[in-house]
Amino acid sequence: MTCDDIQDLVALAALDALPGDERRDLDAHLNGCPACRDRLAELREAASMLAYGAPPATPDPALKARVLRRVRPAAAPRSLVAACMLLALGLLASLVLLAQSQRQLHEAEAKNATLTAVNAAQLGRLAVLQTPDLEVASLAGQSGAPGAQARLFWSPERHAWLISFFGLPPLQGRKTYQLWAITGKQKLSLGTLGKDPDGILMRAELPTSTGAPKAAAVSVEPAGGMPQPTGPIVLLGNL
Amino acid sequence: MALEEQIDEQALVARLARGDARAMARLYDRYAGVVYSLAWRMLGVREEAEEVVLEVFSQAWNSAARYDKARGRVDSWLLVMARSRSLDRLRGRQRSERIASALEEQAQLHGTPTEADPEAITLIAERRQAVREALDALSPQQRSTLELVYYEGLSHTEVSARTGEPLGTIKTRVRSGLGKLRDALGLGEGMR
Repeated sequence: MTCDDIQDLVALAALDALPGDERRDLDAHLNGCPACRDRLAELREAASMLAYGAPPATPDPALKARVLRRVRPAAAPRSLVAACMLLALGLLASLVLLAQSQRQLHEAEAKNATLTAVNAAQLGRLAVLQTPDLEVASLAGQSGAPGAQARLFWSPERHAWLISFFGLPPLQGRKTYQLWAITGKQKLSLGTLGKDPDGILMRAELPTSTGAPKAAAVSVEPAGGMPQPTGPIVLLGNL
Repeated sequence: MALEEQIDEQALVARLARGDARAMARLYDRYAGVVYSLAWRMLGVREEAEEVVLEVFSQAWNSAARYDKARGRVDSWLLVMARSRSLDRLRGRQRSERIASALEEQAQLHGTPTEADPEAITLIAERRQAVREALDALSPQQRSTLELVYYEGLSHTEVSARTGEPLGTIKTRVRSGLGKLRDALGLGEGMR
């Protein structure tokens, strides 16, 4: 077959539309013809540009975090081990609080009563981590905070959540980080996280929403927090 | 595509090959929308289109070291992967009539692109415009034949069976249409 004879097949091959038998005929020709190989490469490139002709569609913003998690598996352990480590950390923190409150018992009876109550609340919240419906998600740092990471644990049954975050840029001035649950079109505040780069926070409350949360995000907001996110998103992940 | 852009994108792929996740974030910001739009156009199912995006960028990450810059543009490399993954899924299920209704849904759901990077928005908008103009310059028959083959993954015999037109006509249309597209986009010999 001559080069002229084969041009229809080259064009179809550039679109991966050539059945096996004709593809074999073409390959036999291409093996000995660099010019047709170049033409195939050019047409394949031209064909790939047809993708720009598809009607523009925008992927879910949370998809980026999924992609980055997939290529950085070490940075996103969604494991029981991580949950256990956090549980241990939380228990340790609680024990420290307990010790503190006992020391203060000797100093002031009234103060002790308050601290004991606080401590009991902490222990109650730690129990969240032992609930069978505990769910875990990783939040990945976004463009303003590429080194940041967070793990979010939450229990739908107990209406409680715990977040461990680190690597956030320290905030200056009257600003705070704020955690959001995203359910379809709704963005519900889960509370403020302060301005420190690292921390562990737990709350025994979840706002009532119309649907199950699909994603969680942390944004920079004015001190005290906002009813809806207004600042840049620094952490984002699917639930 | 300007030569500087091509070199810049090839440097980005070289950084991927070294395991630089920031380079991946940048590549994603630039091309996730186009990859997703293509997969959505071909598959008509949001979850599947998202899976294609995940697969394409994972494949890019894993195969960046083997990317051969002599073989062409970075966007073409990603988009060939995207179509191939979408075709695998399309051929793995019965072709259905849901594409048309999905496109209507798409028009309602995905009106406004939200790429975060203004440079990427401009770049992609320019390329979309160039491809639209190149497609407008084709005859309606050339254009619809190319779209049937490209988006729906039909072979020339399947297009012929669907449209009732002779096989030779379909082959000629694919060749002439694709050749015009290549020339209009400046991808021909010595034009890169």
